[in-house]
Amino acid sequence: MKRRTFVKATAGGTVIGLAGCIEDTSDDATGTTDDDSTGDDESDETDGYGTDTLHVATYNSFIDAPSDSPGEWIKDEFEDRYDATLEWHTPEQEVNHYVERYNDGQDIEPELYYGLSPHELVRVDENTDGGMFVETDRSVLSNAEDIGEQHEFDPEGRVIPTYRSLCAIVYDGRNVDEPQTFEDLLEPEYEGNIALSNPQRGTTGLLFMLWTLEEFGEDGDYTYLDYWEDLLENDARVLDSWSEVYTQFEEEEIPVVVSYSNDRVYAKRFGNDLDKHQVSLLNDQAFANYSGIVRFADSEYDDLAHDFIDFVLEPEVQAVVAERNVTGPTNEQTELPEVYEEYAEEPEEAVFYGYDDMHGNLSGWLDDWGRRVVGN
Amino acid sequence: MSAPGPTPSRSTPDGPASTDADSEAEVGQGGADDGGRRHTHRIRDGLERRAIVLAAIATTALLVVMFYWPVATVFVESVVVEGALTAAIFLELLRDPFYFGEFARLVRGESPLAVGTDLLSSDRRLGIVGFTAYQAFLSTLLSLALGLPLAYVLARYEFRGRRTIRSLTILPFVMPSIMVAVGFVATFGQNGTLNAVLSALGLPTVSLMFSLEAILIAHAFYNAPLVARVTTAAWESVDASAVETARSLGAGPMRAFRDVVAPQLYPAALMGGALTFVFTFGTFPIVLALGGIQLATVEVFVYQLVQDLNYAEAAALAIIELMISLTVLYGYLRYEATHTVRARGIRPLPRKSLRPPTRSARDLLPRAGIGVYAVVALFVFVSPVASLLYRSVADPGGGLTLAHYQFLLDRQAGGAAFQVRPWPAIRNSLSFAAAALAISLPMGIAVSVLTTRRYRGRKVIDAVAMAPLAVSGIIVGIGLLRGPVFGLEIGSYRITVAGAVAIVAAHAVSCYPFVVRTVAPGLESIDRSLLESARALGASRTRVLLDVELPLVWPGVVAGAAFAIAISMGEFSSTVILATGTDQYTMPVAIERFIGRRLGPATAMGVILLVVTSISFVIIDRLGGESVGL
Repeated sequence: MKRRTFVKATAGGTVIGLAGCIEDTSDDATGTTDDDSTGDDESDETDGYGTDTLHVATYNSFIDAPSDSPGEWIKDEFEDRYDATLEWHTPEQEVNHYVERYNDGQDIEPELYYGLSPHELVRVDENTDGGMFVETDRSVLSNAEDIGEQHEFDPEGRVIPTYRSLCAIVYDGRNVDEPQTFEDLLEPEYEGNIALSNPQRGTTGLLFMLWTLEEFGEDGDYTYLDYWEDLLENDARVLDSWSEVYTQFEEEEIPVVVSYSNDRVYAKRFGNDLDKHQVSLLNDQAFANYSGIVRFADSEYDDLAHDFIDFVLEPEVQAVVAERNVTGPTNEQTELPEVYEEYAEEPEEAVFYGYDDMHGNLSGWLDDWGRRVVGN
Repeated sequence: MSAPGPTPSRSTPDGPASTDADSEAEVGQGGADDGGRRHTHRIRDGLERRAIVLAAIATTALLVVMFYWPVATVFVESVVVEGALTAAIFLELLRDPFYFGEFARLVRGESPLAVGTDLLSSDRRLGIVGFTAYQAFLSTLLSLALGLPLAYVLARYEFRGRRTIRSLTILPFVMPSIMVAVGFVATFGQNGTLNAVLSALGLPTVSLMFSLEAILIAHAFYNAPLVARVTTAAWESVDASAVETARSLGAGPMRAFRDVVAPQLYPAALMGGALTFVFTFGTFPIVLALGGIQLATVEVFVYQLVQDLNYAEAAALAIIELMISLTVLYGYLRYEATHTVRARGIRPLPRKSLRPPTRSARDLLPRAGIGVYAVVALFVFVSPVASLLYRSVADPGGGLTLAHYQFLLDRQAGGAAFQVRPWPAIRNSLSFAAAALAISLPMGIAVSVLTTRRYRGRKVIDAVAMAPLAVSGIIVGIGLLRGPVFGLEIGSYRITVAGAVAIVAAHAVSCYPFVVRTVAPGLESIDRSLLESARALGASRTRVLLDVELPLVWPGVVAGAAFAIAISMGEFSSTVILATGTDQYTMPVAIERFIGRRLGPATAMGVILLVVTSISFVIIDRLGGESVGL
């Protein structure tokens, strides 16, 4: 049932897929016959309307985190180029906020949601009638063709992938050896030395849980739950979210944490000890988390929305986001910034779960996980 | 729970204070005309008489709009599935050993005897709910053990900085959990202060992080100050003449304490304990920050279910949580009602000097005990806060830096409009707290008066009025979104409540239970004959409250005001739901936003939160004056 998806990365930053993550999209993902709202020359509507406002929803660290907030640059650049106003919306509950509004029949002000991951899309679809988001007509986007097909995760093609981060192990190279496999983490050397976020709450924890699922499966003699039991037996700490986990790493309480493969880019940026900030790719892999951009069904301003989607897919913008957000681009024409190439660990292969893998299963996996690890 | 529906009262009356002022003005205009004066007197009397009732109606209206209705919109999902009423979700939860351990077997019809025997065995399963109650019980014991000595020192001794320490006691209340986590690692971590001291003394080091112990200590860090603050207020209200009478009748100091002082402290200490139980029963972020998933509590699963949009189960779990908390509170309230010591004295016990007057064991022993306590307090309360101060100026290389504060200045100067900036956050926190205080104080006093009158079921009303203390924060958050923020459609109009006014109202709802809990015990203990004399002399009910009762319970009012400030300053979850823009964000929101790979910016903001709150506490304390209570 479960499909393994690999993404090969080559040194130049171009990415070639070995196996697509979309097996049977019911509709074609790259085009649509629905054209009732497209086809206008973009200048028709924006000309003379310098105050046109585009509302875009995202998560708050994208615009407000002290270490990386590409949102600021994106807003300035987009407004300059398109003579429009971009307004960010960052509700505390992120996409759940819009599910709540949608199910209550409330208006949804933003045109777009930027930064939506596959597991969030699954949650949205499982808890709505499926009509909250709509597919974007990719034929009007000049950059849509350059998106590597292996990055696509929405079988209905609604979400256009914009960047990806890679979940990996970050370890304190001064105090512990590099763990190289999942089994290594069960060794006495790492006893009480590992922290990760709660898969039920934090993204990195969820990615790691999916990674163990991918590695050990859910059926058989030794399942992902067995692995987790052994991991916790080795005193691994499951804390709330990534920030709690990373705090313990920063404070030198815990030398091995589940975080992102781009850790050294940040360490370099802030002048931290690069010997301390080491990245390990278990089995030479990393687990990918994709983020995409998607239109709300209510949205009206087609041209501006299309402009923005095209804008964030542009190689130049993709490169800036790659640098500021320290995430990988999805446009294959993108040239990676130097610091990214030098300090971000790129695995031989990145693994990830697409929509079809998770739909209908995710809640159950998390529930089973919770029941196994919490033993009061 | 009340069903979702329109708000009952459209004519929102003013609080007692402004009503009073209005009538005062009328009196001034009344002038020489005797009949007119009598008329205005009558109006004034009428308003005064009704002020408490009007305040109670306003309080009810506010609670319905900002609490009961919002919460009901979520709770209803646990009993109504696809339009039909059902108890299935509750039954399933109650039968689930994951949540209820061995107790679930009782619900499934097994014999209580078999379940009881298994509960006594070593491999019993408590379930999530059982474990949550267990750790809350232990947390309560530890908070009492660390809070009562502090109350003793603050109430019975005189030393430099006593008033400042007393006003800063509840500072931990405002600390976001991530800041506490940072402070705790620095203190109790492998390389923390405690282990540094232990190894310097040649003692073995301890590993406290990520254990039940760490959670218990963190809970004591938050709640022992609460126990201390309420008990101090009660202790300062103990009348010296009663103790002197006991001593003159031949009772030793221990006997006088046990028979005269202690009975007046039990209600306050138990209240501190009951509130601690409720808070630690609903504990969430700190459990996973310092413990780990193996020590997960009910609230962890409520959050997880909400995030997964499984509202039905989340609501059912939150209701069970609420029922258990309210039962504990109700138990305490019953105790309070029957164990109040009636008093009418006004002379407090004289404070002793910390320096022993003689070298006798009777003078030295308590002071030695205080010395030991001070060392413990230094680690539990002072060190986590101090290490936060240090963290805010530490650079990765081990030196000192002001870069993190510079970040705040830069963000203030150059931050975009959609980003959180420090100064507006400080300003908002202060103005929201001041406004929330101005609303919650009369609310709390009105509810205190109504629940200390004599009628059947008043303690049930009191317990229900305390629900804002015990309902899961995330459920309130979703409810506020569905209720006031989405609004109510009436005809072709949609009435919505959001923005600064709504934030203040939500803060007031969270603050007022503290005012009730600090004011009501005092009101309960006032000798009724005092009130009856005042009433017989023609004073209105409101006049008696303002002129006789409140001055007598003043330490409780000041403590309630300090709690209100603390709760409002530390509030996060309702604020982010109700804010309509970044210009309404407060300091805790700024801290949360500034968390990143570097801890510096967030800790610098955390220090600012602590400083601003401390100054507010000292101002409240000075404004309140060191007046004498009962």
